[in-house]
Amino acid sequence: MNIFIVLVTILGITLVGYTLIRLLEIFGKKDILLSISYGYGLGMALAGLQLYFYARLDIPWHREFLLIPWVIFLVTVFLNKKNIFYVSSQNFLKPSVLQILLLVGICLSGGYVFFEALLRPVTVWDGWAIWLLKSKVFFIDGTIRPESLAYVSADYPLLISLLGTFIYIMVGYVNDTIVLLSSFAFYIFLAIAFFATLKKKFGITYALFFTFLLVTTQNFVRHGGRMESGQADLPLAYFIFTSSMLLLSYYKNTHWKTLLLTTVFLGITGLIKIEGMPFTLTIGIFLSYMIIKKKNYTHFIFFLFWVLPIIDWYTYKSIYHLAALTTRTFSFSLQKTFSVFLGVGKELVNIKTWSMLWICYLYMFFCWPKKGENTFFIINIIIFSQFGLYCLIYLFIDGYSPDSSIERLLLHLAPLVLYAIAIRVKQLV
Amino acid sequence: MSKKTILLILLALWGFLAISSVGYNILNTTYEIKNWYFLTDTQKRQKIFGDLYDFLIFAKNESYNPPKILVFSKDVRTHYFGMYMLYPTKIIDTNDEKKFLKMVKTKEFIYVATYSKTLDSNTYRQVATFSSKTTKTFGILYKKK
Repeated sequence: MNIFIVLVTILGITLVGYTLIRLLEIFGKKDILLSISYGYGLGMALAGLQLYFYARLDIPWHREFLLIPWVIFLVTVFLNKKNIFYVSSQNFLKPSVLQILLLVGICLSGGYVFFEALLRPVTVWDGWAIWLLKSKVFFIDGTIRPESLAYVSADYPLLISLLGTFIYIMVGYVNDTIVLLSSFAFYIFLAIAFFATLKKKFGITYALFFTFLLVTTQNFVRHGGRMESGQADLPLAYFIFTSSMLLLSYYKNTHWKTLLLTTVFLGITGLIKIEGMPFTLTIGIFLSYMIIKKKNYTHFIFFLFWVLPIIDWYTYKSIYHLAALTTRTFSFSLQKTFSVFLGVGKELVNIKTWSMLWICYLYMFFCWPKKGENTFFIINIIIFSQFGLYCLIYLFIDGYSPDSSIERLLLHLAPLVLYAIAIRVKQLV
Repeated sequence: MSKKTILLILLALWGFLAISSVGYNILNTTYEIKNWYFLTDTQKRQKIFGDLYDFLIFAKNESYNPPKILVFSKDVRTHYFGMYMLYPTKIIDTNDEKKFLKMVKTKEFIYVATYSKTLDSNTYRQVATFSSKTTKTFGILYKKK
């Protein structure tokens, strides 16, 4: 029963996000899958922000108080714009044998991740020490208390933990096993977003093949269900991928609606994990360049959706002295450089974790170094800026080494890397 | 061999690894069912966290949610896992015996829990004990007199 409630909660927040995206007509009417997959990201952020603002306004976190606004919203939209919820039967074409086989492979992987997510409570350190600790604390407190945040040494943003709290409120008690279904949801919706993006460009079979490669990569399986890691890395990978795709859409259509969703997703990305901040800056620079080039200066107003939530969180932390001002020392040595390159290099060729993902990407990058189409160029800049930043941190800041974190950092970029491979392979072969 | 041929070989290898991954996951499911599926929630937690889980549950149940509790433990997971398990009780923990005795002397804590260690104090009396069923690990809960 509780699993059912969590699944309904996930579907409910996805429906809210989907409805908003369809209302704004950001994707085409036929791009139902894109709207659904982006809907989960938007919906989960809205659920988290709802708890955050309720806490700030002293509104109790009662289930009814949380649900009523969304129910009113959905009913109003349903009564006035029924076509938003209409799915054309033309979307379901007769699949080929190869497509069915690939779909079966994808479903088997999805089924396995679902099974693993429900098999055990969270097992790893950062799972219960950071993300679920805060979910539990917020649920027991019934609000967000600065003194509780100080107690749990909260330096990370709250969105992922608040999603956990939202699920606990819906279920009615703390259940640190079924809450992991939210990670499974990120796995599934990332796969759907990835498939829908590729399908639009290259067709169903090609999209299914690369989606199959994505969902069977063991590191995604681990983060989606086996939970040998924290809960924020897969969401960050999801938001880095979706935000990058929105940037590419804006690059093509320069429409304010696309920019609106891009900046909203950037704001969310910055509130998932600190590592999302440099990524949002890179995308922000690209967006600024596109706006200035097209002289759409009024579009800069949408940057508020990106910047304001992040400024709000950092102001809150600063007011209540929550920022963990741990002193970091900087140093550089040849021995450290060697061990960083060795550690990163070993992970890039770790077939058990990544299959051929990074090997293929690097092979293609170095064999065909010319920039290709602009899309590929932009994606490479995003990947290398983020990857380069991680390497610089390892090289110069004491206390960081690839041994403990590189597989998580690479996960953030992996969907984008696979997308880059997919578009490059299509150009080359 | 041309660069494109090598690329195609890499992709074919990747496809093969992906299919193997599906097969591995299916096989692993039977292993996971055998090792995890039939365990109760408590047994799963005992399997993951060992005696520390039982000790923290013992401290939580026997102390009746005091505002804070002092814990002595040499298990490195105690701080964060203790925070997680014992909340809303706030845990102040240490693995340093001198620090621990110093904090005991402050008489700030109504409850003190020790993990595989005894406390000799005139201020605190022993109220409950726990011993592991599988190892020599034990825990003691003390209350201020």
